[in-house]
Amino acid sequence: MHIPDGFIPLHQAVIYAIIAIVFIARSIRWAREEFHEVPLLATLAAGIFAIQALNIPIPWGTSGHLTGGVLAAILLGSPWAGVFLLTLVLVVQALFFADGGITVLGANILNMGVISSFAGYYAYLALRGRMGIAGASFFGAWLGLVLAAIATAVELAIAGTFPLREGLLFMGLYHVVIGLVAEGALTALVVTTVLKVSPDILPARVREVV
Amino acid sequence: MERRYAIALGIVFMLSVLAPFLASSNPDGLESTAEKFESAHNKELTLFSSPFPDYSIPGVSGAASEVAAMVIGTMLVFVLSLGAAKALAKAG
Repeated sequence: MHIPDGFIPLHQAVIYAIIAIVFIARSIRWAREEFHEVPLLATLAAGIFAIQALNIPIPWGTSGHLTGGVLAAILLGSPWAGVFLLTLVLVVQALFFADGGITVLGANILNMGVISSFAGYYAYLALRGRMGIAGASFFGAWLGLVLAAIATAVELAIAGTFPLREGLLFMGLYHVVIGLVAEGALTALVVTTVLKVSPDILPARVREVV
Repeated sequence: MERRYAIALGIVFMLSVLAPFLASSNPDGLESTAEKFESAHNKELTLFSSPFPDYSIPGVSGAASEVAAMVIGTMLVFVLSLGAAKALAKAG
């Protein structure tokens, strides 16, 4: 879902960048004051980078991969974790791998880092009691990805790159499926595995619900 | 670093080595959507030459090129995150 350079005019990209910077600044405060398990954070960031390269095929000749914001938020116990980690990953992808544009870095961080992490994490918290950890992780990650795709479609419609209705339809359709096979399934798998194998490395509020 | 992190990192680097072989080469959801609309054609710009375009090492061919690019990228993200989080934790 990485928007390339040229898809959003500069004057609009600047607005998304400013919104993203506000959230990034708060996520830096999270890393400074609220979370000090540095090796866990770095390992998870590297894992998200690696797994983002693992595109899973879906119907219609398309593919998709885990984006990881909701995974980071659930495991580290805060949506700011998703913002912080996705910012690091997206910056490296844009600067070194031409995956996602430079001028649209703010939009990509807003979609995959901010919108996805917040929507998915709070859906997870709301559903955990009813669905259990695996079900809530699955649904939260799925929802986060779908909402990020919808936000991307709206931004690209404002930019005049996609028509609004068809853009929403195709972005929605593809990511509803990618959300099931990649984001939802892998997030639930990683969350339940880490909670089972090494719950003690996670923050207290994350492991105490098990 | 704890042994468990070494194991986790082992899995992460294994993923990054295997990704070029396992990943689907189909376009992703955004690329597939963009292919449908005239308004998106030829709009994509390359503003600067990145060191590893398309997750490969320029001038090196074959799978080795993609594997190396992925391993370098994974290391880069790990070191950058470690450095940033360490510096911030110390400041906090």
